[in-house]
Amino acid sequence: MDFGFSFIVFPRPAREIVLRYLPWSVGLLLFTTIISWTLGNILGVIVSFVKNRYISGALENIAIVLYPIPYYVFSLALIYVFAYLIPIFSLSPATMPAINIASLWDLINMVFHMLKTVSAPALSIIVISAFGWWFISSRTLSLATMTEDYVVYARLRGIDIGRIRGRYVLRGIMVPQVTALALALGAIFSGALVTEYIFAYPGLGSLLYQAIIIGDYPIALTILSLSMIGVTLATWFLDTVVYYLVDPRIRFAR
Amino acid sequence: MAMVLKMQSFVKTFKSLLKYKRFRVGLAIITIIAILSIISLFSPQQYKRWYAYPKDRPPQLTSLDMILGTTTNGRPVFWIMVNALANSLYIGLLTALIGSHIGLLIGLLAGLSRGKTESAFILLIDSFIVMPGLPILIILALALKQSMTIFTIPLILSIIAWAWPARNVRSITLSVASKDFVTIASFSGIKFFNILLYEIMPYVLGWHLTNFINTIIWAIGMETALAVFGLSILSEDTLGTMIYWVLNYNALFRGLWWWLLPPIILLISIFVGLYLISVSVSSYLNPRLRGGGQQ
Repeated sequence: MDFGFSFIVFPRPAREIVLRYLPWSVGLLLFTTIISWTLGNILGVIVSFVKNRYISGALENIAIVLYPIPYYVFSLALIYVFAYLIPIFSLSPATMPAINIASLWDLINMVFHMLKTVSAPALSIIVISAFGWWFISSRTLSLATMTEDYVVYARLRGIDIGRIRGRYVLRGIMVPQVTALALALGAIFSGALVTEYIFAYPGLGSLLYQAIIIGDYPIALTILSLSMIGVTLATWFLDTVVYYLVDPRIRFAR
Repeated sequence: MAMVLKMQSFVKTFKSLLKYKRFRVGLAIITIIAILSIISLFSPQQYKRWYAYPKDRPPQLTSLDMILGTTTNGRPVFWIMVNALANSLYIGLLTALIGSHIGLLIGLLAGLSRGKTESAFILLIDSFIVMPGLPILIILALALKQSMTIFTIPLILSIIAWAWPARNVRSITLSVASKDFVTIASFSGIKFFNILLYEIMPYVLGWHLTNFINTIIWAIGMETALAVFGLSILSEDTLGTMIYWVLNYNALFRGLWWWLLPPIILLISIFVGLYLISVSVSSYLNPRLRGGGQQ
């Protein structure tokens, strides 16, 4: 993909600038998606087993309030609370060290630095998508799965409840949830782009903002086409490779 | 007569929806928001001018103009807020009117067609769902920046907005079309269009309402996302452009919390209120969901 030279940093090609920012965005997205998807699914299954109606009802209401809020609006609220009222995160932008990995120590250092910068934007994405999307869908799905014959039979056989939870219910809801992840990936990515800019996280979102206000079309177009291709490829990957791993019926079909 | 019957069934549906606690809460939130946006009709002429009021003032209870303080441009936050609310709701409603109806049409057609046409429709819908919407909208907004008005933004948003409703309508149409009464109707020689209108539409309409509400939520959110990048109409007040100027003037750094909080609180309450209504409508429509969760 060659969209010519960047206007911001003139003689250098746009691709080179974008590639410098790319690992930060991919890191954030990978980190948050994996954590929130796992957390939300496991929580949903656990809560559907909870007998206490007040706890599960309260959690469901929290999830329903959180669900429709986009990440970037929530992240502004987070900034107000955690950077202004109770200053835990800093309001100033994160610095981006040059990524050159000469030794193992540099690598550890870089990962540590990444984790430190990633925590604030990651929190807003994880809270919303884990407690909103994945929690609600996983709870609904596991409530439906729990009434299936094979789960009832497993209970009657006296199988340990933890095993039923993990091997019978969680395993059963995995396939529709992978599909949901594949479908939601585009929305997750769009939200993350704006969140990155709001937290001044040194990823593609901040670069895109710079490119737009200056009118640097090569960089903007590189980012936008890269993201469309990337998300579509990731969806394809989820739909074929991860499906294959999760669903034994597909694996042994031939 | 038919009109009266329709009104009666509408009132009946509304009454049974009111039994849901979530619906009541959502309706209360949206009513407050609607009242606030109607107040925008009474805004004074000078609220759009810069420095018509003293700048950076915290909220004071002296007059309605100063009740939420003023911005760095010397504009009263209260009047900006109510106008922004009205404009954002307008963008959301217009997008939902255009986008969800295109979705309804394409979904119905996709659900009823067979063979190659069906796969073409599925490919079209699924590719629009899978592609990230924001980058496409940013490209369009960059290209059309000159001609951007409050009328064109909903048109641009509708290009993406139809996909999810279409998918939803298609799956419902598929399940209805496989029922016996549709087969009987078609064997009885009823025309395709009449089957669509009288046999299938009644089942789709309820879901169309939830799609409509969800599209409003999506459109307001997307307009905000575009505005954060400075790609909305910055000369008009919307909730998104309000956030843009807050970020642009570093309001939070300088402690102007009264400028940042109103758009955030309003956005969150619009989203939550509309979503509560849409959730209660869909659990009213789908009895299987009704038993599981509490009302």
